[in-house]
Amino acid sequence: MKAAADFIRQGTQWLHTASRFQGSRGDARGNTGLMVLYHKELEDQFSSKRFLIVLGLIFVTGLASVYSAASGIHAAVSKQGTDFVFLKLFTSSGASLPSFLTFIAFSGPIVGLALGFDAINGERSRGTLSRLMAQPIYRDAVINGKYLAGLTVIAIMVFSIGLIVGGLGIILIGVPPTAEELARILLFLVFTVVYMALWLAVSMLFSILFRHAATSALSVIAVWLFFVIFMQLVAGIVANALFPVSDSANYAAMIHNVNTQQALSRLSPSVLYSEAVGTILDPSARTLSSFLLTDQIQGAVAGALPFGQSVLLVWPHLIGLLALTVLCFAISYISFMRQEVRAG
Amino acid sequence: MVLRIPKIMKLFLSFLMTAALVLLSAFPGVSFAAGGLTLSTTYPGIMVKAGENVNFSLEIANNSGAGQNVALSVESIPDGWKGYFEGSGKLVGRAYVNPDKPANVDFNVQVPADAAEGNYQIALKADAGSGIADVLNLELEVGAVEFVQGKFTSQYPELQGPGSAAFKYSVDLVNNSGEDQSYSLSAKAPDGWQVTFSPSYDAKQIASLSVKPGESQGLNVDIVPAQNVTAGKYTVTCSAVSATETLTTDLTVLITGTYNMELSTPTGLLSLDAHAGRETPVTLTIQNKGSAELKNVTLSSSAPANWAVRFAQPTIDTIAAGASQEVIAYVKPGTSAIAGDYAISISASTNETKSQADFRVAVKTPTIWGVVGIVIILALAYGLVRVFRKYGRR
Repeated sequence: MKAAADFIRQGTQWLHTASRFQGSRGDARGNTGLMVLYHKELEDQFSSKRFLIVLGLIFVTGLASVYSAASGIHAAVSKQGTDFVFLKLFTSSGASLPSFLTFIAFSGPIVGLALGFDAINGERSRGTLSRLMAQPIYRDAVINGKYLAGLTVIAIMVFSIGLIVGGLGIILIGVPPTAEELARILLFLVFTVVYMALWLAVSMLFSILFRHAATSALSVIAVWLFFVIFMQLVAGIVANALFPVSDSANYAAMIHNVNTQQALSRLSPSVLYSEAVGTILDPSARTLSSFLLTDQIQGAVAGALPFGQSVLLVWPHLIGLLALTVLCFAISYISFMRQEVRAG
Repeated sequence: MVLRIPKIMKLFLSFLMTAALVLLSAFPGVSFAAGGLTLSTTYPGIMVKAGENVNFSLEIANNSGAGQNVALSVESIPDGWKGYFEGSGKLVGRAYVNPDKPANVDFNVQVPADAAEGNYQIALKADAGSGIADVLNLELEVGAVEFVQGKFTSQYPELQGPGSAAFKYSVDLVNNSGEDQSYSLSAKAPDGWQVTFSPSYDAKQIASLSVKPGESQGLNVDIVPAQNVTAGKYTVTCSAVSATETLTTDLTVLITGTYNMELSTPTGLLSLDAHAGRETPVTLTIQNKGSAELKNVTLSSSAPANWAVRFAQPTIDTIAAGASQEVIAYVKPGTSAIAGDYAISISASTNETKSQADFRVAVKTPTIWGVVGIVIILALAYGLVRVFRKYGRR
């Protein structure tokens, strides 16, 4: 009898917990709003001309660079051997065009920026934001839905172009990728998604901070130009100012200079991304440092790093990019949630 | 032929002979009478055994002044005995003897196996005709038939070489008995050794052979030491056993030590994973592949600067031949080593030999940073959730 009573008591306790759990899932109603917004946003994106233009830009440049790399792959193979020949499609540059990697590092941000620079202020200026707010949905569903939709578009775009480029590569060079090459390419695509997602978060932040789409567009382009082009120049200038390298400089000063320059330029997401995917797609890259000490070279045997070791090498980069993305999104989230939304 | 000659006649005769000699020297070609031929041997009386073959070296000297065709004959010989003349390997009956150069002829006597003890006479005659002749009496004393052991000896009974070598001995087997002997050959050698017998100038391996009385047979004895033989002195006793006698000879093999060792790992894998600045143990095996004991095996390493390779046992006192010893080495890559492969080499050396193993060390990034990264991601996610909680749901 006692056992039965215990059983019943436990059963009721479990029911209580379950109902409490369901109570906390009351938020699920908000998620329906999120899903509606997400789907609507996806529809808008895919049917917009902007998306088509961006997609076309990425596809054309990507395919052109891979085609150019494939035509020059014989030279690359004869120089560096046939190991990981498939990855060379992505990293080697052809006669006239830069490599696929360089293209993505340069134009990848444009995708993120184009998808997000008017996400909020566009709605605001069209007057649809206040109408949206009038719907029985949570306010954060708007920003979450927009961001998730943008992320989905980016992921679809990146993976489809990755697959197309890979397929084109198989046709052009006739060598299927090995499992490790496939893993490296997948990680490269994941990195690219994260990289573009960061720029999407940045552009969405700007679309919240600035009332006019033109302002936010110009600002994000300025930010993009600064980080993609000028950051390395600035890093060089600062490093030279802090640790001047003259003809009579000793090794310590030179090392400090180089280290400072590298550390500063790593503040730029595009440098982080380039370093990371360069390492992922080049298994023979053993270090990210721009110089090696003699005791690091001594006894070193040239060879490919295992996949796991390459990942560990660029793991901080992935974390850094993710952290920046989350940070940007969190700031946009907070500022959006605290903004006044007025009708008209 | 004893002549009684008065003293005065002796004097006269000696004068005459002197005159004749003077004449002889003045007119060569004039033949001279008796005493012109001498048949002699150095040892006309010898001891023999029944059944033995003996040989007398005869010398026929010619003093006649002219070349003589000499007939050789056996005047008398005991019954059942056989004797014949031999010259330059042929049986001869006549010999031509130059006046100034004595001829050498061998006389062979076969003593019958059943000859009784006692003295026997053999008379040999050299006859050039026309009265020029000489007779030689040989005296043979047949002694008691004593049993004489055969001989089984080697000129070089002690050979030396490394354990991998094959040792080839030349052994003579002599049958000193009066009859044919069939010897069966055997050898007593340490375990794992191979001993084979073969006749000289023949590759056949034989287990027994027959030797005629008084003859000697050359044998080759091939000794192959055991595979894992260690340095030292080994004795192989070879014996030839016949129905009546057992002959043995000891052959000594001096195995000189060979020094050979191999440094490897138990699995043979010469690569290892290590982390920068952290010691990684690797088990080494040192195998003594030589035939001598290895003494004072010292382990050393050659690695990039700032690397450390430490051995649990830097010096091994002895490793017996054929044995192996395991040692644990601790490889510690330098703290600034970058991910990827490095080459280091570890070598074991003694005064005599050395062995080196080249290792490929794959330096790995510590996964702790991966864990730290995951913790940061989790912290970010938590922060985002806090932001959602605080500012969401307005």
